[in-house]
Amino acid sequence: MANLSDKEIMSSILNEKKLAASALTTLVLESSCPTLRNDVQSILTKTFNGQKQVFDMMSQKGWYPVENANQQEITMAQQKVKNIQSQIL
Amino acid sequence: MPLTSKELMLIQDNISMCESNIKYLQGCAQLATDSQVKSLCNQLASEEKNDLQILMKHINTAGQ
Repeated sequence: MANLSDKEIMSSILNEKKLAASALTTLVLESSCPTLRNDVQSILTKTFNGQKQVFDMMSQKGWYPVENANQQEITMAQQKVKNIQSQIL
Repeated sequence: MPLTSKELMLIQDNISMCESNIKYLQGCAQLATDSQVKSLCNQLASEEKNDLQILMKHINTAGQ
């Protein structure tokens, strides 16, 4: 752990937030007690907010590069959606 | 309302995750060289401590 860079630290915290959100979602979905469900939903919302803070800081520092989809990918996805629409709607 | 065995198991799982996350975040805060990263680690550790207490409350008051 002593050799972790700031970028690696933030990246691992981002992963931790994603994992926590998943575990909390399971608990919400399995809660039959309304008080427990409300409490865990509130913790889940805070977890989403924390994840966003980590993501925003990484993005601001250039540690989480994102790439726009290219036009070919978009055209293919649009064609698939059209096919689904023509079958279902 | 009594807890189901599934709820009890999942609360314990989440408490374990919180506990290890708090320790990790505290370690990260000490290790970080960037002041913004350090501050965010401390803030997230503090928030997870609150979450841990909320989850623990459900275990501590179960069966009463």
